[in-house]
Amino acid sequence: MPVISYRKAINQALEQEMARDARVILMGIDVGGGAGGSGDVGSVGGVMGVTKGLYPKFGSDRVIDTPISESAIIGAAAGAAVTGMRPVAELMFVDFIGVCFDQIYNQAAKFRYMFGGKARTPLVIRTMGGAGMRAGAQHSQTLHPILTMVPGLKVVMPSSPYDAKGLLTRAIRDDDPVVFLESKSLYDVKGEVPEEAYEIPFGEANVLRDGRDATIVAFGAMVPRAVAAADLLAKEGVKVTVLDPRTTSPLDEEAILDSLDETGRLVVVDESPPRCSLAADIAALAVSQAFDALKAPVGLVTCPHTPVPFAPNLEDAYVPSVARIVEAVKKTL
Amino acid sequence: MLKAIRMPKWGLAMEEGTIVEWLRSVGDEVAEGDDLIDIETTKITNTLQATNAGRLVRIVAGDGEVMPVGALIGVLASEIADEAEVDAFIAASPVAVVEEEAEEEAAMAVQSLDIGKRINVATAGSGKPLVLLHGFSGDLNNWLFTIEGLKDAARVIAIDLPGHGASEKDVGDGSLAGLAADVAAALEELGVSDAVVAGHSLGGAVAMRLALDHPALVSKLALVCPAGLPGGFVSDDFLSGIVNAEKARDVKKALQLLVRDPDTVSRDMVDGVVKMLRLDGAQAALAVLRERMLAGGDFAALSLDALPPVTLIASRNDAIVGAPDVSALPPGWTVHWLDQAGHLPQLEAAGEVNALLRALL
Repeated sequence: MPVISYRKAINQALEQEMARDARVILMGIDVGGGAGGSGDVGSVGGVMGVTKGLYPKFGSDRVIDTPISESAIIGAAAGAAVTGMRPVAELMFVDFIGVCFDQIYNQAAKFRYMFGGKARTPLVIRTMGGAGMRAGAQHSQTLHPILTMVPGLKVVMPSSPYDAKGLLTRAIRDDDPVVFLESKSLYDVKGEVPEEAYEIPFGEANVLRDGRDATIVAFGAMVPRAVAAADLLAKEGVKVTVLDPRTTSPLDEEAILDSLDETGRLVVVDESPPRCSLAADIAALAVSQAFDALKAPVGLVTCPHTPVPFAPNLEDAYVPSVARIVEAVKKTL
Repeated sequence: MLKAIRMPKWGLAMEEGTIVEWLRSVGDEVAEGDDLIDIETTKITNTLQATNAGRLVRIVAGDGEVMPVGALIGVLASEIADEAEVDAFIAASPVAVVEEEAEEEAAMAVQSLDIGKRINVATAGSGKPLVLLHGFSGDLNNWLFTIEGLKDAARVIAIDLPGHGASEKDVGDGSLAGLAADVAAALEELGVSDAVVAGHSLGGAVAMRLALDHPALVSKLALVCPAGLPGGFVSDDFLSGIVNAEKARDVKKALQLLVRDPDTVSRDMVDGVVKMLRLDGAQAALAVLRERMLAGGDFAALSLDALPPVTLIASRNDAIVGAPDVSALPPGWTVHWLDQAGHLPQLEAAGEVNALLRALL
């Protein structure tokens, strides 16, 4: 099976879905790249090069370079979706979501509900998050909790190249608005990805490690860290299950509760400040649905309640580390 | 003469193995083919057999140790050797020998053939061709222990049937004749004729159809828990379990029907099948095959009397195709019954199946 990067896996899903369905269009800042500039079209493909090569293949009608206006990009994409296209809009950094949040939570997420189920909104918002890139407090957040709490939105956090392709394919074929939250730190991670198109369903957790001593739930870029922690713990004889729910909305509660039933110990790793985080949400799930199964307090490994620091040493300390995950699991034992 | 015992490589994906248990102790005399070590991979646990006779003089990696593929794990001596000699042998031995370097021509190669549709094929070894056809919802990796075990004695060719593995998902009308025609085209592309063809389950029925429709390609048949024999059945619990599976846990439940001990179905095994089923068109292709199998006409049309020599490997604990009525089979078939396996003996009792196949080469 071919081994490709997370970036390439996303690019491949976009290319295959655009080839399969003419209604799939891309729009965003520099997603074509170079159009109207040097004439070297398709040279950039977005700030991270994810859409590179798609402009020459599909042209300016389907790969649309937009002005630098997030409210225009998302508003236009939501309108296109509800009138029959299947747009994939790129919001360069999730940090910029504030200026287009009305279009997302008060418009796109509510069309189906408010139009009596008659409107479909097959909109995908591709965006990226995550700290560790020395990009400062306004370009390093993750913000999935803000999106997860909105009814009507589906929220995806792919943690591997295989998952990125299958989940994005599913997102594009989905008739509801989906926020596809990519992790900056994963773009160069490589893994086995089939060349053929495939879908990974929403709401089904991936089990990356099996163990009966504890359960770690992690999302996005925290998944490889949770796996590394599990492998370190295994060397000390502690066997933990690692669950990646893949989508924060819908959430595979059943997988989490089933695992908790076996292990009785839960650690949630969330790249987010702690208040109203996924960590808090899943801890609430555990205590409300599986209190009798719990053998120890739920461990929460999150960022502190501060903006993402710019000083490199502070930024490194801000993001949950493998060492903190190991420590949190040990505390539950 | 000292001989290294190394961590084997069972299948392309294997990088390391865990030594579950040494079945022999230091000082034991070992014959070629004796069971030596139970080794666990992420896929399944299998027994490593001795490839040389001799006395086990050293266990380098003990029970519970995880070693990379090619690592030295023990030493056999064909003559009396003193401890110092063994120490020197171990010290001089490379830490890990990767098989592709050691036995280049025997290493497994995967290629995709264009026969008007894409057919994925793995080949290993040289000599008389041994063709391996997997069953419903399987893929060529179902034969990983067979490929590894017999590549020293044959040109082993394992094929992903249409609709399966990395082959194209187009299964046409799903008939045995159509599947056999695709296998025939792939074999012709590879320049193979007069082959020993081993088929498992649905692949067994395809092998029979292949021998009837394309007799020049097939010299002998080995049928491993084949579908379509008199007295047998096809479990729709399994077929529809796979065709309608939505989540990994549905797939796991279906796969557990295949084996005698449900614990042999590992997370990796489930993941492999789940990944295959998610590919566009995969479950639709399997749905076509399921309907065709349940209709049964293709099985009834197999002229068992007209087949080349057949070795039948059947399992008494087979929940998927049942136990065939041997009295209804043509005279001259060689029948072996297995007691320790379910429907996947090439994985559950690999040593036994490999020995039976080796005898046909």
